Amino acid sequence: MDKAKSDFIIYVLLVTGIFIVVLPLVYMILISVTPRSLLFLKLIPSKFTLEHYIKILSDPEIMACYRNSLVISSSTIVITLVLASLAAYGLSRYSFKGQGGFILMALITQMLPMEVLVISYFRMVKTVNLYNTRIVLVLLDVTITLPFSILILKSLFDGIPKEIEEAAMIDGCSRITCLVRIILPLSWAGLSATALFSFLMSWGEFLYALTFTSDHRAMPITVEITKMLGHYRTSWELVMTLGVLVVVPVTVIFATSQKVFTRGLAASALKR
Amino acid sequence: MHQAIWKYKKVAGYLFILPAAIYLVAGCFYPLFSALKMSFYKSVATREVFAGLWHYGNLLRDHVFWSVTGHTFFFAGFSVLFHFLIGLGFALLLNRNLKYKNVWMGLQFIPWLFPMTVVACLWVLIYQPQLGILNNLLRRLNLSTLAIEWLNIPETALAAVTVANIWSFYPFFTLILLAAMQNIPLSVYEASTIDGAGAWSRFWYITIPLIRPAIFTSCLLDMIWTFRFFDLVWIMTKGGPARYSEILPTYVYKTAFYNFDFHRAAAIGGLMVIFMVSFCTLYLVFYSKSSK
Repeated sequence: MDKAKSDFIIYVLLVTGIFIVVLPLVYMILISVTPRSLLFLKLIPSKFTLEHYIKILSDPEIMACYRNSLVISSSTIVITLVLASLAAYGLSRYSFKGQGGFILMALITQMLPMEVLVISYFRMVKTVNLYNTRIVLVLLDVTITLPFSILILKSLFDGIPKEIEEAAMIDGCSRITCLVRIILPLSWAGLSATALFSFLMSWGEFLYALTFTSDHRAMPITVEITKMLGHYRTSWELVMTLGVLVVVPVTVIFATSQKVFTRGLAASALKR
Repeated sequence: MHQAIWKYKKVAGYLFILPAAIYLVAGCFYPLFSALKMSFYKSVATREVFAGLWHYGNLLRDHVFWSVTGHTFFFAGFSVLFHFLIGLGFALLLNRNLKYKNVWMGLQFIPWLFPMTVVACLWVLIYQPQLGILNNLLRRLNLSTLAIEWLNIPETALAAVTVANIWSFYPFFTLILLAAMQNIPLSVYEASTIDGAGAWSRFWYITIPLIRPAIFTSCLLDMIWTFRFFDLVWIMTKGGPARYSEILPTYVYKTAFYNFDFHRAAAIGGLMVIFMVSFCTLYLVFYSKSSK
């Protein structure tokens, strides 16, 4: 079989495969721009509209939830990055007893069943009176994002030669200054990959949000959207519109930093 | 001189990991152990009484528990299998010099970017009996007898959720397997081509053996993650109809927050942990072997 022919087959397979997996997204977008009167008649409507977007964007409760999601995700990223870069630096630059134990702990925490933890969290949240606050979701989301962030950043810091810091320290740099001035700027790619994963995870987190929020004062958009699925009549066009709006931030961030993203994850999963 | 700097203050290393360590212990391990401890107690009137393995004994004799466990293995097993097959397919297709490779890569990634709740809403609509695209397609193809209420029928509910889950997470495998394939030196393939190996034998005797560690790691991780995966089933079927799509995570949640039987829920969780510890042990044994 010659090269051109086999290439052709590859492209056909690839395009078919991608078409199938992207179809649900296209379906979602098409419904979000179909006028109410034309819904579910044809896959591609004869007229388009943005009325559903306007309706969603002008709903104060939905927008409050959207803001909650942004606040929760960004706070999670900040806390995660601070704690994880400190820990990763300690693991990478010092050798001490219990280091292996700590890494093992980070590995194990990624596998704990959240449904079991949530039973204990429920009691803890009741005691400290944080039910239906954004703080509790940030605190809980960090337990999800912290372990893998530590592991990604550690493997990243390991790749930075110690000599750079030694030179700086002879010039009078302290440890923390080294970390902030030298290591972190050198590893911006890994840091942004870590931030992106943390964003992806906290943006999509559902179980804790479902359990610990009750209204728009703290509820993230991911829970709000499931509340729109009614038992008898669901306004599908609005659900799909909101779905598009929830997916958009993630997709935009991903599209602008695909390389950082894919390399970061592959590195963390393989090197670990 | 160099030595001196790095040995300087052994305590400092601990100080760096301390905040994260405290966080993980207080935020993950303490809650885990306190939930497990709870599973050995039961509440009598308003007091909590030590009950030993009472809940565990009840559960192991309960056929509901075993059928739910069966569903969980069905859900996790088929999800992992198809994640792997689809991910492997895309990784093989993408592992060559293609035009616009990044675009293809990005497009096949799209499902993974969906928050799980959006995946669930989208697939509920796809399966919707009257309006959904699936049944409309079936009717168009004159297969109206197949246009059923997918999420409401005992035989299809769990399988339908499994399909949605397969769609949402296969890109993880594409990514890991593709990265592993790109680590295989080209010279290996060149040598085999000179020896007259065809595409199939190169795949079977070179690619697969060399990426086996990556396959093993990603399948195990996925198994563990899917085993505790709550979101999709909860939103799409709530475990219904009856308990036909109930899996362990939703069973724990219902027992705790619908029946308010936290002790029994914790015991189901304890049994879940036992299942998962066996997966983890497998993973860690493998991990320590591969890193040596």
